[in-house]
Amino acid sequence: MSTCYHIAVLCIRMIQFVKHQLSNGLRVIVHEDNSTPLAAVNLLYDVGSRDESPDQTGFAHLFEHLMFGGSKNIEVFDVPLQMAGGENNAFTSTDITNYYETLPSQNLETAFWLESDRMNELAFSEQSLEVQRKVVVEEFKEHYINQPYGDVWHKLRELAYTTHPYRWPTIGIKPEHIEQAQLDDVRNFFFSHYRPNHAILVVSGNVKADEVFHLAEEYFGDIPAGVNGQRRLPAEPLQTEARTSTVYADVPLNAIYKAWHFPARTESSYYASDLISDILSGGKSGRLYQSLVKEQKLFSEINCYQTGSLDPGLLVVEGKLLPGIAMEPAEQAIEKELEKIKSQQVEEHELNKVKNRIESQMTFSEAEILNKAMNLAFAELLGDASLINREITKYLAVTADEVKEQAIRILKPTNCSTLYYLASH
Amino acid sequence: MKVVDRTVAPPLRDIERIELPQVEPVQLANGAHVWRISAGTQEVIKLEFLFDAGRWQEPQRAVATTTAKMLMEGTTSKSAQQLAEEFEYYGANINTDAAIDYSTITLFCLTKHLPNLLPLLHEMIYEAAFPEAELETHIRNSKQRLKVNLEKVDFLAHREFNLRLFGANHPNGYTTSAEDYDGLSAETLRQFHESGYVHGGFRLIAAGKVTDEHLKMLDDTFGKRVIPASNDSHFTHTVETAPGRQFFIERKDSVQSAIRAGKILVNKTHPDFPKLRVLNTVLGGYFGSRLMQNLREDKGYCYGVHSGIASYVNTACFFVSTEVGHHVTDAAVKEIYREIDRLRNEPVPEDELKIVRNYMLGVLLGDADGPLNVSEIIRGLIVFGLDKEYFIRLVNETRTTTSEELLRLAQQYLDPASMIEAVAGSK
Repeated sequence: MSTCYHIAVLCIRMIQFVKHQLSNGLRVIVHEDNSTPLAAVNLLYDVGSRDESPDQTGFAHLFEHLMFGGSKNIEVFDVPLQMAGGENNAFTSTDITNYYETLPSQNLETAFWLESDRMNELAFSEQSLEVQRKVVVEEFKEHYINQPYGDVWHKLRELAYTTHPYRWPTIGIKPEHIEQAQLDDVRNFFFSHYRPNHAILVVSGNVKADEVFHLAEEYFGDIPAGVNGQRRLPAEPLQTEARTSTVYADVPLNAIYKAWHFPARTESSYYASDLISDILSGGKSGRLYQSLVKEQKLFSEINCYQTGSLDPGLLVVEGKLLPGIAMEPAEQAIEKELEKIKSQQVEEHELNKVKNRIESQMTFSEAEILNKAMNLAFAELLGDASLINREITKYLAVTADEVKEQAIRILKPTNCSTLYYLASH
Repeated sequence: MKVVDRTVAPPLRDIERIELPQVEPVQLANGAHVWRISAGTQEVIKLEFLFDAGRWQEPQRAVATTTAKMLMEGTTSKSAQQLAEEFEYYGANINTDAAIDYSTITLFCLTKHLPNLLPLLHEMIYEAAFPEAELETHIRNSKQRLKVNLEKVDFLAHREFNLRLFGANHPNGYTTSAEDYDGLSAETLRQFHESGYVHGGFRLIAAGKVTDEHLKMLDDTFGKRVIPASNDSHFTHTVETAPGRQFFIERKDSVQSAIRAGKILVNKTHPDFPKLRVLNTVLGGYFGSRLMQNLREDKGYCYGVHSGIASYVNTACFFVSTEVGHHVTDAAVKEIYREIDRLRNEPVPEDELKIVRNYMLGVLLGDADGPLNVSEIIRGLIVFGLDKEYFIRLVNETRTTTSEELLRLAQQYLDPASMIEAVAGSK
């Protein structure tokens, strides 16, 4: 047994915050940090590509673009924000759509005005839709078509998921789905998902909690709540046999991608499972890199990571083979490393190493007010913002037994989908 | 609770002051300069060492970057694996790289682990061994990554642009090729390490919760080694821009073309630079920029387009960069020049300029926030021999830039006839 509370705790500062819910369901969280002249505003909407219908994929992300195309009282979102000395951006994932601004704290109200106006009523402009369809199609081409290995996640998700909407990536299955989006779809999507009861607003930085709550009430208080429907996503059935698929493409190197179903972000086994990816591939001392790149010289690069998804996600090992190396021995070498983590308990030293790494990453990520705001919003989505202060303890409490147990559970051949991505010439 | 009038924008307050936190210059016992930025809320430290061991100083291509990368591949008493294992045991993140003018070794760690990490860092820097087998692995894997990059149009356009603009013999002009990697030997790297690191001085930026005790540890570890007087003046390289203006790299069946256009510009030390930054921001330096509004938000040609100024100690360049649908390549190039011409022919309207100034002041406020951000400002100053006064000037000049000045600068510096363009894509 290896517990190691002594190595951390002291270093992680508690993030103090206060929370308040408006009558329309909007959750508002404030973290005061007066070491900065800035404020960060993070508005998370509980909608991602998992909420799309299979014949209209990529819509949540397209919608994110449309959120910048003007709202009822504000023609161009960016202009007032830039005038206020602020910056903003947004991202969409399989699970969430997240908007954020940082600006001088004296102009905080501008961010409230902007975010609340587009939550209240988007402009629903035909012209904006037409342009953003084109922009997103170019984004699709730039990142997923015109890149070597660009479509890997399309192929891998399709193989690993048969049923759950994680079977398509956030950008969508194909550009045609985006090209076909209509204004009515935009309107429907907005009124079903972009309501205050589906959102979490976090403000961090040089602010006062009571002033933020006051602003929240003023700007968001009168936005009507939406229907509080239960999310009913088709669950992914248990995978019972190994799946493989082979793709030939115009790429310079053969590659292999192996994906295993992995616990959801909210499961208690998540923390021990997450450490598997750190043990296999955290930094240069990770097992896969040391063994397969450095010692055996089978791969030019190899990585292991997991998707951290709200529904059961994937643990992925991906590697690019060196020239002249056959796929079979390369794959066997990966299997051998996986066998090791399933059959032998990880040593205390190595377990401490990955825990130290996590402690360090968490502490650094909390050096920025925007990160703190994002982390608080996501923790609240997971169930409780205070999780942000408890996660480190959960990681530190993981034992070698638990890691082994999860490795055995996850890294089963019948739980695995393997994609061989081969050079066609 | 009163309901707000959404038709009226909230009142704004200008950014009045942008202040850097205290940056304390100190010297180690051996005379090495340290800039200490002690601030922040977290128990973290970032140490950044700058050595005169960049591309500018290298004897042959790829030596500077490979030497920097190979520092982590073993010392006279520790294997690459042991080294990685020890750094990572303490949760440290370490990066080594060579830029054009210098090389950097950057350590990120929790303050509590610093005492364990400093001796290791010292050993890594000064007792690097450049093992043949590790070099072979590094070169082999770098060549594989290069193969993948050569499939990307933006990489190809960037490579062609630098080659044509700076010339093949200039440190900025080359992109490391497979042949360059093949030409490397452990002995060449060892010699470069000897002159650039072992017998070269360093500058150090220490940011985060840096206490006096930490400084003492730094002095104990890094202050003893005798540093000879600097001899960095004997390297000269001359820009040799190729004749011709348009360069095309064909990538059959590419659904997008990458475009990179631009020219040599004055660098950070030139009096016009602070306002050229403003001019660049109007054109392509933020989301509301003219290029972004025209090419993306109006025409839907691309996912993104931006312009920038890359400033080096001895040169600088201005560039516009984008990836567009291949059928609109020519139209996109035309629009890029049209926007540049507009800056040369019409003054920037006051309301647009006000947005840009305010936006840039907001960015500067963010840049000056927190020790880790400030360490990047400081690096950007000291390598040019500039100090905090420069940052104050930058803020003031940004605040006071006028439309007339931008018009003059555009006319003086941004003549499209003086620019070259590289395009990679299908015909």
